[in-house]
Amino acid sequence: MKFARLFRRNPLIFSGSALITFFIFAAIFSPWLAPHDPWQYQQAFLEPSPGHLLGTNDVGQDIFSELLVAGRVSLGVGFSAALMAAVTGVAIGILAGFRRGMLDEVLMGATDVVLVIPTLPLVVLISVYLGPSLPGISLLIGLIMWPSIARVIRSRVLSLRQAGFVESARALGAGDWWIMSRHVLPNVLPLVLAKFVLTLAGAMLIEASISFLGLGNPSAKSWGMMLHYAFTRGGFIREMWWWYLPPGLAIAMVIFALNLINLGFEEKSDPRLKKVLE
Amino acid sequence: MTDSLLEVRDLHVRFNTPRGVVRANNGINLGMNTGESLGIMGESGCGKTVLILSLMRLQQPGVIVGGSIWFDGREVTRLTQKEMQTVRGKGIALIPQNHSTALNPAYTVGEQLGETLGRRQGKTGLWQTLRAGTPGAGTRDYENLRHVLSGLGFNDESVLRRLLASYPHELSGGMGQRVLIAMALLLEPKLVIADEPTTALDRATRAETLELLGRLSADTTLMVVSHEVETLVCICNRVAVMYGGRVVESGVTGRVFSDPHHPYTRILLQSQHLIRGKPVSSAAVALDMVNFPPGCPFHPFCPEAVPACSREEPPETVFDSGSVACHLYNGSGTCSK
Ligand SMILES: Nc1ncnc2c1ncn2[C@@H]1O[C@H](COP(=O)(O)OP(=O)(O)OP(=O)(O)O)[C@@H](O)[C@H]1O
Ligand SMILES: [Mg+2]
Repeated sequence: MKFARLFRRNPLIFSGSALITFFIFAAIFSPWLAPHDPWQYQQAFLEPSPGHLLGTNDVGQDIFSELLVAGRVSLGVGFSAALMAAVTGVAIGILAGFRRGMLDEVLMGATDVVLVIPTLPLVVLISVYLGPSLPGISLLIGLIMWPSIARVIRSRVLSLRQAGFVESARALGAGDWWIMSRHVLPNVLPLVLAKFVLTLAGAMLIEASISFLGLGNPSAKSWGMMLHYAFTRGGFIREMWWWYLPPGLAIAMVIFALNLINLGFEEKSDPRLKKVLE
Repeated sequence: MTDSLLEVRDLHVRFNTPRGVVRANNGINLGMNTGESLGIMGESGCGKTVLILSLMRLQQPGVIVGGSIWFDGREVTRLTQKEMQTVRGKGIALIPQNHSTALNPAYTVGEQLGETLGRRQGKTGLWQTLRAGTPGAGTRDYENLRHVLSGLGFNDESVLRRLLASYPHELSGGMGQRVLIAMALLLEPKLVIADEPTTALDRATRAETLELLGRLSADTTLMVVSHEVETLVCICNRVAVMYGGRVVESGVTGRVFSDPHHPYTRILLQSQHLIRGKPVSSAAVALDMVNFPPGCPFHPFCPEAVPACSREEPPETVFDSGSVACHLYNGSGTCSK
């Protein structure tokens, strides 16, 4: 209920969510929305026309239909990776921040190690090794992206564990598990949501980069994959902007929408930013 | 001594700080029987909060370096943290000082009271924990809640419903305080401890809460911590006066107030009659808990100090229903001067 109000009140969050919802719906309903089967070979290199809104590619697949369907993989990989990162990051952040001691040091040590690894080269390296599988790539991105969430959650938990309601619950006999699940978790959820949005954007960018480099799954269309083919199969040299521009724009728009939401969250927590924006 | 509930012997609690070792509790002796109501009084910083937190082993980062705490037949200082969870709440329930932060802003009052009930019944699975909500009308839990809350002045069914559905920030100070009291009572504890129950309240609510605690003390074993004499007079049948991390005097409330034995008690009472509200006697402010004076901690400020006071710690003189730790008394409870 509180969230619903937040979404309606804040124009940044509202417009960002509206945009992202649009993309999600388009992706979910793409099989019904797409005018053609995106895998079907027709005449190649067609220019945009009423029959093929964005023309066809090198093997004659309808680019507009491709664009719609590719959203499923791009958003799907992004969401599952971000979800994994969020769950791992929250669990580790809460555990480390609440339990402190040795556990904290070990977990935060691991977090820092993962945090300093340059993300993209590592992902490229491992995905070459693992081969092109969508769950594999999601898992990989998820594993790379949890540390920044864990860090943020931990520092919030450090102040939460001193909160009056935590102390009074403890004084009435609540154990660590009880306090962590009942009192700490709900109070970090807004923060998790904000971090999730950023992680989602990051995850989608990584997925697009991997696919663009040709390391994605060729049997699953994604926006990065479309860019890859447009680049390697003559889309750029033939200046077929209707081939390479739409997937690039789609990625940019989704990231833009996510950044809007994030900006909305930040504005809510930092009134100074609000003044700058006005 | 058959129904002795709490027995604190020579309790020492210290904090290791960059400034040095803070000796917050320095050989506390204290006893309580079931049914009694005991007031702990003393100025800011004398170690009252540290004492009651130590009873529940929540004094961290403080360390209990010596002494024993017997509660309900168990030695609290020797229990594991896991075992402590059964002492906290069901054994000793604390009514926290600050009602505005002691409730979780994410849950309604009903959900938090329901949570307490659920924990008492051992429903501690992750799912049960997350879902613990307001007990539905007609259930045993709801009757339980209604019973406790009506004792706290929420008699009307619709008022009760509204209370259970409201979030902590919607409560007035007095209501918040009563919800916290209810939370403690729901666990049916053997001992209820209230830390400064009235300090954060305005005048009208304070009177109301005092009256409530007074009624509570009739059928609960109650320990009340306060630096306000008037709070304790209303509620407690016995009081213990603390100074410098020690109990310097204890006894029946009437006797302590009408015939204070320890020079510090006299000064404390005087300062309270002179200045209403928070006492600002110079003594405690001046007492440095790190560079602790040898002998009686109060001797630098004591108008009646004798040479022995700065050399030896005064022994505790026990008499009929009280005690005093002062060199002016030796064994009989009458002044030797
Ligand atoms: N976490 C801590 N670290 C270091 N010193 C502490 C800590 N907690 C308490 N102390 C010290 O222990 C002493 C006793 O503190 P305590 O909180 O028990 O006082 P109090 O009698 O409850 O006072 P008040 O009336 O202000 O609540 C004080 O000198 C305080 O500085
Ligand atoms: Mg205190």
